[in-house]
Amino acid sequence: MNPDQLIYKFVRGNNIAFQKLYDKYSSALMGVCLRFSRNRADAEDMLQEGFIKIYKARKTFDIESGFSFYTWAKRIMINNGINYCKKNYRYVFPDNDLEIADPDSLNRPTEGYKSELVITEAKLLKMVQELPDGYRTIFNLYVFENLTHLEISEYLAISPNTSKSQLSRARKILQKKIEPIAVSINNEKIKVS
Amino acid sequence: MINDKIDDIFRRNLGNVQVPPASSVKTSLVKEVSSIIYKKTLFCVFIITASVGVLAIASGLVFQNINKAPNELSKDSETNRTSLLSLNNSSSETSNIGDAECEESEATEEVLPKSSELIAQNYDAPHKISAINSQPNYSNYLISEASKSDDYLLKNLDNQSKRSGYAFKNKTTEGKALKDNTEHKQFPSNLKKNKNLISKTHTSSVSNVKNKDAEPIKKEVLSKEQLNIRSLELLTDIKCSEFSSKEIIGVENILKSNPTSNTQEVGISDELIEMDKIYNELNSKIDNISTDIHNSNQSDYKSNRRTWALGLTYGYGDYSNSLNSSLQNDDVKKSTSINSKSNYLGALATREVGRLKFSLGAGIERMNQSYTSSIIQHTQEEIWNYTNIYETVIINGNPTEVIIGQENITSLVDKEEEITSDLTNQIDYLQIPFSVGYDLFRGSRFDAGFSAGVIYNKQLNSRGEILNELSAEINSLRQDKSLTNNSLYQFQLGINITRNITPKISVRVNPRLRIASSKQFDELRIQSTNYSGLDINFGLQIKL
Repeated sequence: MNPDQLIYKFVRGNNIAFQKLYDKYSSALMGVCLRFSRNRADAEDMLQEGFIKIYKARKTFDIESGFSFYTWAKRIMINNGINYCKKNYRYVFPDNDLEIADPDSLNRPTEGYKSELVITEAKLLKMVQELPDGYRTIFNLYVFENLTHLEISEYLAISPNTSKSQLSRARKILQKKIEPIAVSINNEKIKVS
Repeated sequence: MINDKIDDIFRRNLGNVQVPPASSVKTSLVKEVSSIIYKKTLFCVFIITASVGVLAIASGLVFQNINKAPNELSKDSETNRTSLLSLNNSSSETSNIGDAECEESEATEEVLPKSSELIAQNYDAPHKISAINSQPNYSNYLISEASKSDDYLLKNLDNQSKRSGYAFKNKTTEGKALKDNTEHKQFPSNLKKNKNLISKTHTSSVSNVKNKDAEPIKKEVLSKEQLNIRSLELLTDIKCSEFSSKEIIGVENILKSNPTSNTQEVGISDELIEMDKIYNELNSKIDNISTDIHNSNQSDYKSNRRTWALGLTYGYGDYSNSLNSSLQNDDVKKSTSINSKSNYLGALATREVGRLKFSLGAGIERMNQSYTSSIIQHTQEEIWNYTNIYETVIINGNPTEVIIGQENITSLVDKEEEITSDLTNQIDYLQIPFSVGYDLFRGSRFDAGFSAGVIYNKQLNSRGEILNELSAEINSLRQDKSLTNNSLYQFQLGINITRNITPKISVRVNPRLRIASSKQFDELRIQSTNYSGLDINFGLQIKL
């Protein structure tokens, strides 16, 4: 079936078309949900809720706008992910969270760190999922969705400074988690050489 | 920058990560979407049903309006009568003022703007007509118009009287006379014909009161007055003795003392008051007669009525309970359903507001139930056996067994026994039904509509037997009152068909579906299910 026809039928409320769209895009959208959630079970809940919202909002999708279905669905999924986190994780963003003990330390190059690190996606995903909920959300929005701090602040109803500090803390945590792996990889390389 | 590098690492590796979800997600998702579609379908069905209902009601209203259309003339006659009343009021006001000519004429013009317009439409008045002169002319015109419309109603009345057997012959005859009268009435050219007609119908009374000495103009006006009164007499079925001599003389006196000049009108306030009384009395008579005429048109009357009605109702119902198989014991073979037949006798009070009917009743319902149940009883049967008792005896040196007697031995054998019982119950209820009905169709003989409501049943007594499937025992309802629920609620939805025998008495048939919302028996019984079924009610209703 032509993708346009598939989407057209989906907009008209065709159940089979919806199932086919699910088969086509669920894996990619599951990746989005996994980044926003703490674990896979939550991600699957998030995915299901997101697809229900996609189905209910199908009439708002303008086929002729040139917007791809995936972009539209991903936007709904991200919104749903944020709402899911707010509802189930109950994280709060402290307003005075800008006091970083040593902000320069974040920009300092890590010893033995190399950009050519080979770390599996699963490990990286686990690192993201292990981030505190607030950090994870802002990290996702900034890194993966390419939103600015101003946009994030509007999105989450927080101040831009809070967004910045949360992102810094998220990066710091991730950096700490990557370092040992990088060191061990370097050591292995040295041993091999 | 290390921050950018960290971002790059995650963006590159996780930016487009694709992880297939578990298959259970899809299954539950499809189920949820299906439930949404199902709910939407239900909603659509509900909307369609509601739309059909609204259309049906609208079509009923349209039908009602079609029925009402021919009767609009009667409304015109009412309007005319209202105008006549205002005219009379204006004349009384005029007589009360009674001081200055100019004031009087101004007051008349203020009070009677519509009357003047109407007069102007039908008369070529060369000069402004004074109040006293315009009154008989205008009232004459009104009477002619009223007689036209009322003639139609009298025709209807005639037709209905033929159907209903009512004695309206006199009115019909007069109505025909009026018809002839109004056909020939063209002011002022046909005035003589009217005079002749009136003089033919009421020769004796008119001849007594004619003022032969009156001037030609006065005679003409007098004739108009007489015409008015005669016409109204015909309309209102007033006997000539009531109005003919005394009142016409009064009118004559008014007219005698009523010269054409406006200056002399000031002094006739007493006569005007007297005349006003006459008109008021005539109007009250018109009110009475026209109400009867309105009532004769049933569809128009019914559409606006607010009446009470009392009636007697007899109902017969056939219901069934499907039994709760989850509570069934293995040792009990049950019947699949309980058949219940009920008889109801009660009284019903109905309040009709237009097409809506609110009914509240009370009565006794006797429900007879029957069902078959089979119980498998496990028993042990005693079996008697006789065994020979042997004894060894040495005969000829050889031991030989010899029967010395018999022994009776009983043994128990397991046995299954199926006991089939035909159980019957009889439960009496005090029933209080409440329903709201709406008449979709209203004819002269039949009304049809639907009704919905609730029924409350309060148990009065019960007797019979009920199977206890757990203990395989049969319990008496009379002994154990807890086996039945004392209060029952049911919903009813039905069709109302009413046959109007007379305007006051009607017969009603009401087939309906009853669904019990509460259980009739104890929760632990297999019979504890909601019963539902059809019943039909017959009622005789008298409108108050």
